Amino acid sequence: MSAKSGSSYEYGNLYRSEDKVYPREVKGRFATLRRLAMFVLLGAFYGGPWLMWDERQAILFDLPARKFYIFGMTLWPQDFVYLALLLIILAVSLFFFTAIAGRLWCGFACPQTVWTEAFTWIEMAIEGDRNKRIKLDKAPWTLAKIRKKAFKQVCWITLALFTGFSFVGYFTAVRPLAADLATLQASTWTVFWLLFYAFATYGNAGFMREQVCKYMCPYARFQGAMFDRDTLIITYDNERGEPRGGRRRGSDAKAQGLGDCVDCTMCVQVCPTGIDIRQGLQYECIACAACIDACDTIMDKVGSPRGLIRYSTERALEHKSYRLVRPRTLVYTAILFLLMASMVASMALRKPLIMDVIRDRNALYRDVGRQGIENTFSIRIINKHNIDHVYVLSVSGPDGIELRTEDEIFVAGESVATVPVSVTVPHENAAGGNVIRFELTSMDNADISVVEESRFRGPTER
Amino acid sequence: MDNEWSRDTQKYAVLSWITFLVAAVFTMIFFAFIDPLFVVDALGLEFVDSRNAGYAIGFFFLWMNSWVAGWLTLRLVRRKRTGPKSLAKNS
Repeated sequence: MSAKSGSSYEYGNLYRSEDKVYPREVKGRFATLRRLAMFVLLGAFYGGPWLMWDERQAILFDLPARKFYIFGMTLWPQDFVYLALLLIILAVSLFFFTAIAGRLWCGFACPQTVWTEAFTWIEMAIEGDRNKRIKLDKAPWTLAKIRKKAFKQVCWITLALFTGFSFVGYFTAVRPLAADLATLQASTWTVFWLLFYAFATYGNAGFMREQVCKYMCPYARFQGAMFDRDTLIITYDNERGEPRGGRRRGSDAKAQGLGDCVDCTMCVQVCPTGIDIRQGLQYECIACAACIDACDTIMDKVGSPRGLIRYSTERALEHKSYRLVRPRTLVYTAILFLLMASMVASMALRKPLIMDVIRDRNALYRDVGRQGIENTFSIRIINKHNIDHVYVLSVSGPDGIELRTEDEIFVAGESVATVPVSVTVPHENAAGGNVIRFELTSMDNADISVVEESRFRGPTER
Repeated sequence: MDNEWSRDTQKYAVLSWITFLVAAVFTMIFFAFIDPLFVVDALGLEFVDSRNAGYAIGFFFLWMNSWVAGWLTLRLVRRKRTGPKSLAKNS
């Protein structure tokens, strides 16, 4: 297969850069917004592990201990359903925002965009703006060039390593981790994941950049399915701009039969994915709005009104009214609301206690003479509360059922205890398999109580 | 780096990234229910000395799995034959 399977939309594009994209620095409303988003999001990411809550790391997905701490809340592996629900809610929210505002996520919040922004910022600070970088790349390897390139690499690698460190800091307590790294005592796997994430950051934000959005990102490929004619997109006003062309300052464009577009190609030069927005909506567009800023600056200079390139919708471009409430948004809102309600409800009903009833695997049952038939179980009690509890276990089932275990079971806060339990049922009621119900209740708080069913096995009837 | 990725580069980039995501999700689901140390005990894998090692090995195992499955799919999916029309008619 050839690399460029000549699709029709590429036809006639004079400015398509076939080589590396060198985005030009851009200033304006959206650039400020994007930089602000970058500082807030990166600040939250790098600062997150250092937050404390009750003398404990506020956000810690403690994988070695199999417990997730999120501020005051402790989640156990058994609470996986909340994580799943949360991820589904986030996905549907993404659909919802995409339907209304297009690829806002891509342009402002996606880690790929945010880190690319940070890496390009370093690049611009060291190597200069677009023209200087193109020149530098073409220039022979002089000492000055090596110095610049090396300095850039050092900055990039440092940022990438710090990113890897912060990432791992969400999974291994960050303060001890920092100490371990400083004294070279961190475990192999910790170091491995740190380097792995650092390498991914370096590769994605330093080198692959827009290729990730164009070829690798699944969201970019199916976001079109969430779009409709009322979705906010970045668009070039064809009617106003065409026919495009250069003109002398102060000359009457209308008399020359020209539109507002002066064909300065600034919108193409600032584009991080290297497309020409004037060809209409393209899947490569990550809606970063850099072209809006660039075009507005030029429009101000030539004295035309801003907004030749702007956020708009397909219907608005056809001079029709904008509809926020429409079947698509209603359906997304309904699904989102349902999911959130079920999340809140299940969180509210969440019990700080889990009981697992595990049958003794060695013997199905044992005949213990006059007392009847005996089954043995292990009861695993998970106290998810951060305080200690004393529990009482009881059992119900066939007539005459009896339970032998500790009267009071003590389980420390946030820990697991396993107690052996023996259940006996008189001979006459023990045949076959009867359903029995274990009930575990906290002595200090009767609301903390769980019921688990199991089976009592006896000899089969002949 | 060239602005346009070749078909093969695209294939392998997409393959590796998508299978990475899938493996990450399934690692999460798998280890939410199963403690890696339990697997280590059950299979007698003494060289896995910590939960973190278990997670990592589990993840790479799943990634390799999905990668191989995806790679074979890519290799085996047949495209429609393209060629001169006369050939298609005669065959």
